[in-house]
Amino acid sequence: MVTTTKRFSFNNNIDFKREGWDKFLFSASSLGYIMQEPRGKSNMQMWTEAKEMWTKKKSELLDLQDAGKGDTAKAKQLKAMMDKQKIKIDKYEPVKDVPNLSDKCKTHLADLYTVYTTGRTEDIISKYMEKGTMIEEDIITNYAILKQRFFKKNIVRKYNDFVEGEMDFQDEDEDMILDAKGNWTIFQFNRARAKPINPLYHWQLDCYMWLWDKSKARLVYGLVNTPEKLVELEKKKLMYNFVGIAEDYEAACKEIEFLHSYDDIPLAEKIAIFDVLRNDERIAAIQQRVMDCRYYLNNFNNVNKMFEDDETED
Amino acid sequence: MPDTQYVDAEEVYTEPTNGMAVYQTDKAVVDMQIMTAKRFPRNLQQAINKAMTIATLDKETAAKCNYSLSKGGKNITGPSVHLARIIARQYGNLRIDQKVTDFDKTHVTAEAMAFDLETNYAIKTTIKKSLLTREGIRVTEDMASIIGNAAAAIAFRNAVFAVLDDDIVNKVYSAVKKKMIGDVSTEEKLKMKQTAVVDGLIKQYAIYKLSEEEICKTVGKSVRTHLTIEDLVTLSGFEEAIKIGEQSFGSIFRPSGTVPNNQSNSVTNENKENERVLKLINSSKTIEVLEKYREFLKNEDLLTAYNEKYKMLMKK
Repeated sequence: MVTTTKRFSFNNNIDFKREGWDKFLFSASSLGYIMQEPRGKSNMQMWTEAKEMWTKKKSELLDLQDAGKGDTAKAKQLKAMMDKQKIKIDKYEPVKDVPNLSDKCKTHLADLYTVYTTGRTEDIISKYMEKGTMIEEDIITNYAILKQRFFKKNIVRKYNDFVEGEMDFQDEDEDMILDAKGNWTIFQFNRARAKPINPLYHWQLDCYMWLWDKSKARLVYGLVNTPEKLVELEKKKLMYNFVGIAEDYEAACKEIEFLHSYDDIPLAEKIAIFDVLRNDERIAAIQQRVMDCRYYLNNFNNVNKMFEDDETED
Repeated sequence: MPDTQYVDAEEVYTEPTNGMAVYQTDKAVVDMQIMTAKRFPRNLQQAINKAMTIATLDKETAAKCNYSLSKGGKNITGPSVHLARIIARQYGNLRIDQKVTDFDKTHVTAEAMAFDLETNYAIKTTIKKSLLTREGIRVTEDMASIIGNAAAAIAFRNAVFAVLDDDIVNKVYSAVKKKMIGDVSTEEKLKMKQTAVVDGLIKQYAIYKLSEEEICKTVGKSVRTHLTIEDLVTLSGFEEAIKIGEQSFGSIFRPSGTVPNNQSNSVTNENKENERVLKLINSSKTIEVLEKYREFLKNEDLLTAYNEKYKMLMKK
């Protein structure tokens, strides 16, 4: 899901429509969207390949001509192939510098463009995000109890020339950044810990390690009880759709309560951690992608024209 | 059409209005008040003198009468809500209403009306304040009402100062500034004042590790010795603005680079941290572990919980 709710950001006071997007800072949580690799070859790759092919065929043709075979069928075939490559070169020449971005990235950029040029936001705080935010502190508390140490929630937001972000907390003894993530239910929690780290969160941690200049980061998935307010909402939703007798409804409500309450599960089983190490190549990739995205945003109004012949996207 | 200004998340409307139009519901009361006002008109000079005496009673009162805000990279300094209350009380024959008119998902709207009963001149001001934290999440209901009250107080101030003559306000406000800064007639005295203000702020916001450089940078200076009298007034006003919740520490001293949460978040964070410490105390299984949390006992409740747990573990 692309988050377009306008939150606090160092970008908030900049008029991007007037000043351009060269100073736009991407938030740590949005990196996962822009860092998704595009399918197919980039315009630059297409242009380079066509140019190399044209040069190769030209060389072969010259060899034939030197050998006095300039009028043969093979020479004609080479000329035809060169013409074909020339058409490609001409086609990609004007757009060769246009970055190749994934559909997900383009969607995210379009949304950012809307938010920051019109001030409009989409209110899409889903129940998942709401719970995540509400229980962030509870996850830190559970982690603290597990580690038998006190951790303080970070209240500092940092930025550099490319990105901005606010990590959740840090372990100063281990010199490590930590980010807490909550799950909607135990099902999501177990699914998340059964798989490798979510790339969206991995990019987020890369960003925090970069901003706080750390070499290690830890993603802490925590399973905590869903706040009562949200459980009640679930019950209300059920009530609107419920067909049956009152006893069945009550039994269903009990099930909802049980699904969202985890007091019976040992604390150690309610925390899952993923450790990642700093990788400067990934950080360099973020820098490059941020520049590509800024280019895209700067040309947003011509972007359809620039991409109309782009065959690299599926 | 109302004159509309947009200041960050706040929308400010100020419009002259017909006092009677606003008070249709209690017209009889207002009529009576107008009659009383005409019968006992204010003594302007006396009102100004009294307001000046109260506002400059001591340095603390004077400091409360000034506020400073940092908006869009510019500092705005001016007379505060507190001063508006003092002047309004002494000015007399004013009818002032302030109320929160609307709460929606993202904003609270408050309005205030100041009605000069002697001249039948009224001003209505509207203030809209965001209820979202920096994460875009709505603040708690308690915090929403605090923000609502703050918005109403700002609307009150704007209405009072809009209905009063500027010269009256300026006269009292000048005395306030003089009282706040004190005697800075010599270089030596100015230097002492600069040190007092800067060191005071550093101490006040020690939790944020506020530096001298950050303080001076806020008013466009590099070192404390460059601070002018106006800068000192502005800095003192910032302290007041943070205290009453009109601005956050971050928006003033760290508008970019490194910004701590806004006030509402700070309050929530502190509660959550105390809750965490309490849980850690209760989960401690040995005295060695328990003692690790000693440095985080920030209130009586935590201290009591700590001592009880300590006794319990000692018995074991």
